[in-house]
Amino acid sequence: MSKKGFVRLLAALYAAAVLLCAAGQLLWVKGMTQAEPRSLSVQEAQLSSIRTDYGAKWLDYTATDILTTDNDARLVWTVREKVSGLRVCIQASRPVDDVELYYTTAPGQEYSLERRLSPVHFDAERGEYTFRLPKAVRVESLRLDPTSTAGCFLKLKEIHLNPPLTLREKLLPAAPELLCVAFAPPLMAFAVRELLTMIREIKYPKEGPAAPVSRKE
Amino acid sequence: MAAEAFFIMWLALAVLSIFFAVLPTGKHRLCVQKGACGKSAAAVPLCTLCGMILVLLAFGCAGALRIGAWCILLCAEAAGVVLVVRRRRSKDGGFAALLRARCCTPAWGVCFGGSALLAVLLAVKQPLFTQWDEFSFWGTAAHAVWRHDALYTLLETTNLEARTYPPAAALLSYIFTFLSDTFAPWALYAAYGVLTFAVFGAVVGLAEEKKTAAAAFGTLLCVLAPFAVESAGAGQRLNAYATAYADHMLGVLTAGGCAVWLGSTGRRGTPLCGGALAAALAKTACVSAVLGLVKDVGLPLGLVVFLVCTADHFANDFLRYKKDGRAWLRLVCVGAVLAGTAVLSYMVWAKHLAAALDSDRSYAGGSAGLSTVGMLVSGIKELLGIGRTEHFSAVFSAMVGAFLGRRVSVFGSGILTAATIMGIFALAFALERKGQRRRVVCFAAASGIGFAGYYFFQLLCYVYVFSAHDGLNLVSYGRYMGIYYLFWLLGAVCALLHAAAGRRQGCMTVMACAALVLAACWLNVRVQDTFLGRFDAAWAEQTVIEERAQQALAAAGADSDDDRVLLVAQWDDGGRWYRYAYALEPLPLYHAGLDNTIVAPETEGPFSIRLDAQSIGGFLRKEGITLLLLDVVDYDFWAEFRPLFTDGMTGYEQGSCHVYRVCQQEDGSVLFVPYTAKTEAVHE
Repeated sequence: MSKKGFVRLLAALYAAAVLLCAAGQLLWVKGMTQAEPRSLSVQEAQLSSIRTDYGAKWLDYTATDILTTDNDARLVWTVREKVSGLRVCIQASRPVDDVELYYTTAPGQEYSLERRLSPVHFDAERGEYTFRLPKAVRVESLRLDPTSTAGCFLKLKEIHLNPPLTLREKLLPAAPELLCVAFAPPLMAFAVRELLTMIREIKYPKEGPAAPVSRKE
Repeated sequence: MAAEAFFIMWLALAVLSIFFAVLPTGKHRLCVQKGACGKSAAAVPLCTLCGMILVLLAFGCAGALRIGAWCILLCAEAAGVVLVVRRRRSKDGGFAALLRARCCTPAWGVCFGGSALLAVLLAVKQPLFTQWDEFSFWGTAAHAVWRHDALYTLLETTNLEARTYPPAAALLSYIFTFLSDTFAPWALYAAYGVLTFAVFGAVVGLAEEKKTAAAAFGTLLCVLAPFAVESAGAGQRLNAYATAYADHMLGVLTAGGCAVWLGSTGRRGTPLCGGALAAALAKTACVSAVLGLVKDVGLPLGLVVFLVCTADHFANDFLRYKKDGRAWLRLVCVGAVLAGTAVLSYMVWAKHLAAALDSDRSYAGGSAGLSTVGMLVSGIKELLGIGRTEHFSAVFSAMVGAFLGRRVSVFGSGILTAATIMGIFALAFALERKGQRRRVVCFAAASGIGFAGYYFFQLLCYVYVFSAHDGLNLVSYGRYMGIYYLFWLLGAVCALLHAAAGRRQGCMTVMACAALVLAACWLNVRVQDTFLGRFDAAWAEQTVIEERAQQALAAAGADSDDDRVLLVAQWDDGGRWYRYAYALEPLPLYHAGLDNTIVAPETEGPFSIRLDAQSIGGFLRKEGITLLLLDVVDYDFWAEFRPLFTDGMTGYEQGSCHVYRVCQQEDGSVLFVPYTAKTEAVHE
């Protein structure tokens, strides 16, 4: 393949990549916005390793809040609808880390690391965590693991299912997609060039400048 | 500021590398221009960077680390001036041609482009440290070196506990942060990235310069390799490219040593002798020396480099041994220099430790209290069945079981990973010219023997160094073995690219391998688990800790020499102690076995200091503690000590104040005064 042909191929692949990425982003946004925003509450959730009836008042934590009893506290909501994400404000008596969200897509499905989400956004002032599913899917249940420490008082406020996308989320694809757009076209162009060269060599074994190098060199 | 500091030194590295790459003059230069001798400049950035680390180590041991760093920067500037002058004086454009031939190659693009891209990504993300050992050693060590402009072995007061670890990783990050006025963890990650991509450059340089396509797919293979060996299944968080741990660096550097060696042996396989051999040895030794200074396990890995390079030289010189007596001499020479470098770099640090800290590096640590040599001897004895203990047998069978069953990479268990790597070697064998094939066999065999040796070394660590429980459970097995698999995978890629250079089918083969590894990663790695998918929530806790530490640092003021901090983090497992030790460096933090939980005198518990309202005053006076940092407080602490706080702990409860100054009263009691900028002014 000539140099000019290669450059043209590269340009075409770049154009295709940008278009694909834009189309993918558009479809993703469309799917995400189809999920209806609504709010959830702690009362609706099944709680495990969590007490709500401890009675004592300490600092400004009162009986409406929750206390974790061991290091595996969970709140499970059965939602059975299309879900794009979750936003929750967590105020805790001791610093929490490892706030995680698991989801299942079918009844009876086990929670697994493959369907674990880490927060994509954190507002330190409000203690607000935002989770996003890779794409909007019908979700059977959501499991929030607010902390991995026992004896932690928690206030969970403003639990929003399917919070609306921010402008940046709508417009800008994530870093991995952008890296793909940047690096996939040249790799593909090289691959196409090598394939074409190989095909030509098979077709015209002894002609042209691209004759195979002798093994005895 | 951290970004400017990083890129100034990145530029300095580039200038110095170009300087060394175009250094050859006269006859050699002509042959380089013609591409006749085929000596690639791909490994120059890696060797330059390793050289920088070694220079800094020398200055650091002499107690003049900052001077050393400035010397490097000034040398880079001088080199830049020389380059500009040479460019001006060269009338026929010969210099420009030389520059193009040596430096405008895919390898240099990978090295500098890759590291710059990674640095930009990290600078945008601004990650903080999160993992345990980033606080207990790697990050804290780099922070201490940056803060004090001195090796941590020479410091009088530091919160760093493990001061006997070798310093190459901390020195590497010092190169890229010493100009900055803040210490940013991302700059450390980016500094590690420069070394990583310098190695990738050296590996990619093994494909011929004109073969951009093979180089591109080789790069893809290299970039995926750390993810491939770290991920043991989808959903696992991956730290590749954003970790202060030196494990990936070790694996990558070991492969770098082999790549440098292969790159200097020439394309046509003409055996090395004379000056070229000396140059190749010097370059490889430079990388191998740094390898030995990264971590204690660098010594066995340095020996692996020795094994692989000596085997390769043996195979390369194979036909000459009958005719030429000097060929044997050369082989001995190669072996002696490379094995000597590995041992020497280990000994240099041992000598420094003996002088600076009066500590003995030959002690392997752990419960058995054996020296490294003693561990090796009794390990071999037990392996042969002489006095084999039950514990040894149990760990041994656990290790064998782990090799067969435990998932260590995207390819599956250890045996599958090894098989995949051997498959790549087989492809390299098939691709290689006939006369050169024994080199591939020797490379594969030597790295296989190295694997057995490394596995045995790891077994000994689990038997003698780790506690019985941790040893039986093979703690961090995946991470430790990942070091070797990473080297092995990259080594196979080296062999493949070396074989593919100049072959028609070469590029296709590299492409097929890249497709295979990409597919394996695609199935087992989720982008959101890598550093690319990590967001500020992952660093939320560390952000809070650093804010509180800033408060304590402000309370201590500029002259922190008289102050000492007691951390209160109730029921912590030691993790928060390390996090504060990192964030508070240079301000000393009280520790007696990471104690930071205060309990009533009659209670028991881990990491506890047994105190009540009466005894706390005496304790604080005795330990010279002047500041109290309330990180996590529980009900018992609140109930017991609240009367001693002049604000009744309202500052803590509202979250506005976490630092209290200890005021000793004349009657022996103690009061805690909340620290705010205003009260401090009155206090003074």
